[in-house]
Amino acid sequence: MSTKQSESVSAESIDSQSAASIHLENLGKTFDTKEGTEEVFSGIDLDIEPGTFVCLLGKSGSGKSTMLNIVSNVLEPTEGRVVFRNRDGSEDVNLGHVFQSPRLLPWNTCVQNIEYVHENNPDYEDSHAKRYLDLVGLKNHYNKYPTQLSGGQQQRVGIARALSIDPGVLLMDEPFSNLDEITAEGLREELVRVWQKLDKTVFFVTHDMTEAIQLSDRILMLGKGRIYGDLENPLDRPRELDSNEFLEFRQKAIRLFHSIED
Amino acid sequence: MYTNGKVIFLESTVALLVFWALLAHGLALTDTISSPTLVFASLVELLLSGDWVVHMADTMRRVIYGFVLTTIIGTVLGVVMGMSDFWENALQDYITIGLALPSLFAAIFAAMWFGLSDVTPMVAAAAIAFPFLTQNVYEGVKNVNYELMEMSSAFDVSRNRAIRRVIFQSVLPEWFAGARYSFAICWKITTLAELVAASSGIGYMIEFQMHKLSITGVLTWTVLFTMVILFVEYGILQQIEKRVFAWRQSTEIGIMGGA
Amino acid sequence: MATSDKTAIRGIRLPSSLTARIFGILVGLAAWMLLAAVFPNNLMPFPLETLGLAWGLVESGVAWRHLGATLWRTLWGFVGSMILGTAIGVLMGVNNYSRRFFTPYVVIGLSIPAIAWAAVTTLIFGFTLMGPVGATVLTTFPYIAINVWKGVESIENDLVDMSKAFDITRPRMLARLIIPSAAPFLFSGFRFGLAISWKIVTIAEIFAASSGVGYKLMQTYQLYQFETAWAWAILFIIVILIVEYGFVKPLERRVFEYRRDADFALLG
Repeated sequence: MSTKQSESVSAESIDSQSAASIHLENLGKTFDTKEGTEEVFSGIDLDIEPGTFVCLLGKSGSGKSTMLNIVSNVLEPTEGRVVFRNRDGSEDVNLGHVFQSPRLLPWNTCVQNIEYVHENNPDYEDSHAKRYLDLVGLKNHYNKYPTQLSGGQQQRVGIARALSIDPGVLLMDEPFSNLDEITAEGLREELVRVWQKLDKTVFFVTHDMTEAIQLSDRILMLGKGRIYGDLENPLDRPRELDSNEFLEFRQKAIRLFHSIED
Repeated sequence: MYTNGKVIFLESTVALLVFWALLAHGLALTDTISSPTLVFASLVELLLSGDWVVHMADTMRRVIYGFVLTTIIGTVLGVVMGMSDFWENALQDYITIGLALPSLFAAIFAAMWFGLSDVTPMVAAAAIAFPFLTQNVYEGVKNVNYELMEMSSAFDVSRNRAIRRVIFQSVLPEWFAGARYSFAICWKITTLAELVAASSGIGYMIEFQMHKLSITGVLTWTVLFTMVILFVEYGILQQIEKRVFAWRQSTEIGIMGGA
Repeated sequence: MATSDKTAIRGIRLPSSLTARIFGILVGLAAWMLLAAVFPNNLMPFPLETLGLAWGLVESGVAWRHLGATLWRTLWGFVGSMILGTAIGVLMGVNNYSRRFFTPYVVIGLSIPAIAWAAVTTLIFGFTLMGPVGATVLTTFPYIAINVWKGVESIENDLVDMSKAFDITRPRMLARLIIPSAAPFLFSGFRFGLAISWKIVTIAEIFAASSGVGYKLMQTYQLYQFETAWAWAILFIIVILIVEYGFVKPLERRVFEYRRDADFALLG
């Protein structure tokens, strides 16, 4: 599944931990409310191959944020567990987070923002941060402050920061939803380009079908407390948004997406 | 939540009073730091005697004079500076100096010029307080949301209506905040000016007790005045602000204002 | 972006703003001359006369002694109120209970006039350093506490969550997130504290000292030496302006380099 381009130039300078697989085992979550308990989802079993770009698609209130928070280890599941596994079988996997808003320290430059998350890395050097900034196309912005960057550029720094800790799994929470559509589309292409260079599993949460189809290898649809849709994306890369194959697949996916009532 | 807050308030005031009482009686320091019971007894005596009424009235009258003068100067200069770049630049140095000027200077020079009259505290208080109000009004005028003005003209709202409904409404909270702040400065400077040149008022009485070396007397007048100020600030001004500016979410503690 | 455009435009128009400033200063001087001409000379001396007197005070060395005494007390009052104010402000930011517990102290503290504290500390400590310093600390700490508290409240939860997601330890979060985030508030507390400390020290010196600018000013008033009072005032304002433009403003620029277009009013 992973289409790593071995001839890529900038990727060679980056030693990358290989992608990890994600396993959700009988995962369930309920919240306690005033009127008793409310079930978000239950009995979810899922295996995600290493190197896959997965999009989790759901309407608002479907529980996709809850699921991401459990996968990110922010929330405890009520039942079941989440396991990450490297290709060599070990379970010690780095997780890289990209948030909906960039969440950069405004008083630190791009390089310093990346340096911030390398607390336990004695080998860290600024050249490391710069390589990742290069990778996301911010070559001339090393020492700029977030306020001097556009929203799209800020989110690029957010992506570079997540990649810089060499994660086996990249967790992304609607990272482009606050950007204008043209910027978002450009960033999606960039993200796919970067992902193709590095061997990463991506778990990407979104509510936008076009985005999911443009990005993913596999689309999961969450609703009514279960995964009711699980589609392989048959489209070749690079993907043309106005090609017939794209529009056809989109039609099919949308029909499935709306097959459950709100 | 409400009762809970009251309980904590009681806990913290009682804690302070107990600490004070223990220090005073435990270490036999009542001559130096007085004690809650001594101050309370003397406060009751003062209130019953009625002597405080004339001093409180004198101080309050002077505070109001000073505050009126502050409001006039502060508002006019603030609007002028906010509307015109020229006056903004011409006056900014005076605002900088005015904000930093020690209050004692204003009190003493006012006393030199105007002697033992109500004009002394009035001028001293206005001289120190108006830069703060000017600053607020000026920033309020500068920060009027021009998107709302554009929206108004897009809907053909008349100029007068736009001024009333947009500019006035958006500067008003800044003005009120500045006015409250300068009110706090006014009463502080008034007490100071009374200490320098007056034969009545709270500031004069605190000085009088101080020269009698009576710590209990000093604290009695301080407690009395502080209670009145707390009532005016929170019982009156803050309630007005809450009603008038209900649309604004404000968590300010308010009543700032340097002495 | 819009704001930086505005600054650029302002930068171009610097000459006209300079004209306005010069105009403002000239009008001020003219008003002073006019007042000096109208009032009897001992009430309102001319500008040059005042500067001459001020220079006389400097030359004779009297100025240094009293300015030095006031500065020394201001320094200690400032340091003391920063310590007390920061401690209470941080405690107020810690949780709901401590905020409610300490709020009355701050609110009541704000409502007590400086002269009351000056009288109290003089009666307790006599003519020692603790008199004016104590009055300054007790009057100033509530302002600093409020600023510090607001700073602690202002820290964005999003950034704290981000740091947790990247497994950042507490000391690093404190150094890289909490302190920088609260810095504007800490700084405005710092400025406020400094500005108020000057004022309170001079007030406290009326009672609680036999030296210092406040003491000299009160003395000249009581001896009807009004021209000398003006000279002291000019000297003290010069010192304040030197501290303001020579020390506080450059520090502010260094601390807030990352906020290019931030606009700081003198007193926060």
